Amino acid sequence: MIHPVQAIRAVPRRTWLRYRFVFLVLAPIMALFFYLRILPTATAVVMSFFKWELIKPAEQFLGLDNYSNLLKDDNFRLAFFNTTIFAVATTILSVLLALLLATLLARLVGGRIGAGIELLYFAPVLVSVVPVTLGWREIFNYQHGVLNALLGGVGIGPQPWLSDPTMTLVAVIILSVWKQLGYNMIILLVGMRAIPRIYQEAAAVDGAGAWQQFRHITLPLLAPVTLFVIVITTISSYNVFTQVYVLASDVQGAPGKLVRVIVYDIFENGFRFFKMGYAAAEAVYLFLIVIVLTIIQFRFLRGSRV
Amino acid sequence: MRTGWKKTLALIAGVGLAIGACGPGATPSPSAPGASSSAAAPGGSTAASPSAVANACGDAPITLNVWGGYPEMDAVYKKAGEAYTALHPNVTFTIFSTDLRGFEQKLTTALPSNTAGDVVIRTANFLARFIDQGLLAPIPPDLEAFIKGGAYSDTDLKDATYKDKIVGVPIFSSGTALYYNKDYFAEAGLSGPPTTMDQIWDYAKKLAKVDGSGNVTRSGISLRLSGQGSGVAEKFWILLLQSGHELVKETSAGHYKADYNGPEGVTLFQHYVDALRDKIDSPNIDHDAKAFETKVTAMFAREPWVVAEIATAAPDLVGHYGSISLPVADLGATETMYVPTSAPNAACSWDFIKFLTAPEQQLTIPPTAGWLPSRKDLDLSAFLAANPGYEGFLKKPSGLKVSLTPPIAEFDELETKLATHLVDAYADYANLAGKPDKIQTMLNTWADETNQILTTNGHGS
Repeated sequence: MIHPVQAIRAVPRRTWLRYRFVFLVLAPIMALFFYLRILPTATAVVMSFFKWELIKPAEQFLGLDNYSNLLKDDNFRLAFFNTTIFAVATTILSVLLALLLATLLARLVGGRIGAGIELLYFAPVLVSVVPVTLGWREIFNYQHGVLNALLGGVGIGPQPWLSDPTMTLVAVIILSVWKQLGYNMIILLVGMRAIPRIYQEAAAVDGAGAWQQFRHITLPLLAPVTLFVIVITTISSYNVFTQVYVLASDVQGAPGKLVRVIVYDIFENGFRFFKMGYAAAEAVYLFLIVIVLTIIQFRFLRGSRV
Repeated sequence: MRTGWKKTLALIAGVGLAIGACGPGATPSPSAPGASSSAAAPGGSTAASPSAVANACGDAPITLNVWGGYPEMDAVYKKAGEAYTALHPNVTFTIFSTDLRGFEQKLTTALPSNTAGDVVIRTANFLARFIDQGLLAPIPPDLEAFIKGGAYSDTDLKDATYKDKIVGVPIFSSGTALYYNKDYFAEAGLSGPPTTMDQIWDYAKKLAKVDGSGNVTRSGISLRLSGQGSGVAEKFWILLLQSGHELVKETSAGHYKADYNGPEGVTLFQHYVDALRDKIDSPNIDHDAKAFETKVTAMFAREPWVVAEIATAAPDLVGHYGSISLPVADLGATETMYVPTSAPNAACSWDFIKFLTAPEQQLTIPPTAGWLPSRKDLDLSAFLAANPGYEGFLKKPSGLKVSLTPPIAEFDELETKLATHLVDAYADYANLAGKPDKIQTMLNTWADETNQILTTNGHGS
């Protein structure tokens, strides 16, 4: 095995010169990336080993105390549980629904109507989360919300969407699936349209039905795109914050039970309680959770490729 | 140099965390106090005036940035700024405010990075950490002498004091009163507002309304049951004060312990869950000022800004409601003014702060923003006559105890964590109503957490 440094040294000078323009134009972006992403992340890891207040940095080296204390912290455990339920539900629902919609649009609806439906489902992605969440807060309103009115129409009593702990989590999942669905649908639709029709035509000639074509041709060939969608949705779901913050925001009078999620807990510990070291340890946990899940998804879904 | 490096790292990491991880809005216009509202000007309490420091702002153009956490106060600062500019044409103003929590979060990053406004307005309790770090300048001696000179109440002075030193200049103050809907009281055959806690709970039962399906359509009293932050615990605290107890009590100088898990705390918590079980209040209906303004509740406890909000948001309610002081104790809060150590125009900033303490500026606060001026040597009788909604705030019974937020930086953390527990427990009211032993155990567990936070921060008993 060649040592990386030796490998770099082995690159001829003319090769370096040939690519100097590439390095030159990449340099500012890489510098920015280092400054805005790598450096803060690395600093957060360093902070996580200290008692580090927002305005009193590096007060005391704590080793792994922040990490072990977090495991005993009820708020963190609740946040981890809520976030995991939220991420799993949001990812499964938004990917499955997106797959269904994309299939319908790819197979059955085309032309302007198809484009109109695509736009309709994609529109929530274009709107900022805050106003959208404020709108949903009205939809979820117990007394005069549209959702409870619709449920009443089919004989179901009003649900405490914003005040019951379980229902609030369900409400955040509904809102987030609605917001994420259009993005996932578009990506999957593009993936489906990229699959050459010749495969499906050949399968049809061999007598395969629509379901068999979907199961044995579309799904396997769509696996890389599905993997991308699942990974992106999982990462964004574990980073959920704005929806829960706005749904339970401190607007006097509005019922609103806070769904404690990891990023909210990080925000509260860091910026409200000033415990930046503790919050940094929490952020590192979140980072590790997302990395591990991503690796698992890559291994699992790559293994299922044709 | 080393500290500067650490601070820079902390800020970068803070921003990194934020990137990676992730009040009341009154527009008040109560009746103007009228020309007869004036400074009572009792002997000796003469406000420091801009002329106290000759030409504090020099002649070069200066822009002073005034930062506060109550958007309804913007108009007060703007008006004062215009008056100040008339005297000092080289000085102009920008006013920044946002909701209180957002403002506090902005301060936590702006003060350490020396990017905060020239005049910063918040409570001494919240700013204690920043004062400890030397990020806020000490008050000039002449201003301190003026503050101690009799124009302010002992409560305001105490609330502006940290570590035995006055650290901020009071601008406006707050307290809580019970708002009640007179029409609903008449409808229930109640001749006047409640004057004891027992009456409050009893009246609430009589005032609540439930529809045919068993849903609460009007709460007898609107309790704070949900919401993020510390507000839920603060409202619990205000009612707990009526039984003579605090969230945390000082056991010796600078040392505290939880005080809400005694029998009185259990009784109060029982009142909450009983009120939910008995459909006196419900988590599913609107609460707080919105509920009162839309007539969904008959009573609720809140600060004076609601009077101003009612005047604009629910004018049909004016004349049909009243406010009365809470029976035993009140929770006071004083917003105080500071100049950051790094402020480039400190002398001018302090001069503007002095200007804001003048009777003319203080008297603009109630009609413009709904809050009450901190100065106690002002005659607000004409204002009260024109705005009787303020009765609960301006006519306090003698002997009313006023409690204050303890001057410990971790108070917000312990209050917020208690609020989280309370919200969860209120949601579980069906399993807690009528079970004092279970409630006692629960309160003890929360109190342990509170005491642990105090101990961790060196304030435990």
